[in-house]
Amino acid sequence: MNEKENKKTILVLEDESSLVDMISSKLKLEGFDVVVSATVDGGLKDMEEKKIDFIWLDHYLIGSKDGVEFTTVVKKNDKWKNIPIFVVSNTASMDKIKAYKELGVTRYYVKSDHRIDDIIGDIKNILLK
Amino acid sequence: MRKTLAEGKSFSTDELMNKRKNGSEYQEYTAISPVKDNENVIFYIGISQDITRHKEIDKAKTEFVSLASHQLRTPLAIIKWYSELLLSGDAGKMTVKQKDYINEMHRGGVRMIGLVNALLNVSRIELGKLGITPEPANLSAMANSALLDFVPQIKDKKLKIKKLFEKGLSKVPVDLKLMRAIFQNLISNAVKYTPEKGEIKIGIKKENSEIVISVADTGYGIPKNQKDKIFSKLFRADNIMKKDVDGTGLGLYLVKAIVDEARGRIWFESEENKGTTFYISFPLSGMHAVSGSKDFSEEKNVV
Ligand SMILES: Nc1ncnc2c1ncn2[C@@H]1O[C@H](COP(=O)(O)OP(=O)(O)O)[C@@H](O)[C@H]1O
Ligand SMILES: [Mg+2]
Repeated sequence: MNEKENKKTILVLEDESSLVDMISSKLKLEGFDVVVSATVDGGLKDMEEKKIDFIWLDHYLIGSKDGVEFTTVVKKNDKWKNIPIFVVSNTASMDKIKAYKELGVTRYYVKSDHRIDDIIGDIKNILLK
Repeated sequence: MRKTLAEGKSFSTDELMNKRKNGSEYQEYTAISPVKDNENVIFYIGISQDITRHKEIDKAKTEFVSLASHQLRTPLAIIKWYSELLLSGDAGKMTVKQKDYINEMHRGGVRMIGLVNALLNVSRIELGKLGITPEPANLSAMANSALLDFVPQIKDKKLKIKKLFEKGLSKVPVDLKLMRAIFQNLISNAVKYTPEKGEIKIGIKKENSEIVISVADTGYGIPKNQKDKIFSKLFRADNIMKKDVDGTGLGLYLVKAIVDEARGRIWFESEENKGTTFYISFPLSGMHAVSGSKDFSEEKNVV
């Protein structure tokens, strides 16, 4: 099997530039291809243009649209709706968590409460099994 | 409202919308109480107040809290995750000393996150925004899982752990996050405030129509003249302040607020330098459900 073909691509939607750097370098180190965007529209464009296998999503993004709007679009699209989404955010308000769960995201993390390695471990479990 | 009043009880609400003389709307608090002569209602007293401003302040506070949570947690997550990156060796090998220092920075970050979470929980409780969503839970399993977080400290201090879990207890409806926070805080205190080679006993049993949870230790105890302050916000007793043990004085305040809100009871027995036992009880029907808009933040990091 060709390793290149097997490489999974992760879309990272995150607005905090210093986190974008570290998340993507960490994911690359783990052998993933990484596509990053800081806006909902940019992320949707990436979804159209590339074959995305997994989505790392922050709630607050640059611009007026947030992660809930992104998830709503993705889950309505038959091509995309089965792509696993991890929401990794710092906001833990019950209504937002509820909205994401109802939309069917795979998991919800509060950034500061988890080790980056643990989140990436969970991603590997889902993608590489 | 009519039903409550017909039963001879008082009625109050802060959800009424009313109109001012100039036509603008305002939010009203209204309370109506019956005045009785023996069993007969003679008349009613009603009080109404314009609470629009109150509600606005309340909302502003909530928004501030949510903003602060996001604004503080993001830089804290950056500190924490970058130090994890260094520690995992991703940026090359470090000397033992460098590793030590980064470890200290990581611990500091983790403590700060715990503090932010604790403060957020406090403000949520004070704003009355905390929801309680009970679901049937196995309390012994929850106690065991909370204990797991403290295995390193327990080993370090060579503490003996005894579990006195009544067999065959049925599940009790509790809010999982809140119950976990209760176990975590009580166990954390028992571990922190007990010297080496002490003993911690965790009990869960049915007593009449209640479920009683106890966490007992053979530690420093609580000074007699400070027992009445133990559930106050930010309070830490003198005997503990003299020792170099981390803490915020928010744990028991939060635990008591949760237990009160869930309509349970909390009490303790303690003797200085002998030990302390905290008790919590709920009816077998479990925690009282409260609808609220905010989730409780995990504080596993406050040790
Ligand atoms: N098991 C215990 N043994 C002795 N003192 C205790 C115990 N639990 C709580 N205390 C006292 O109550 C105070 C408040 O506890 P808590 O609210 O959990 O705050 P913290 O642990 O952060 O100091 C502690 O600082 C300590 O003085
Ligand atoms: Mg404590």
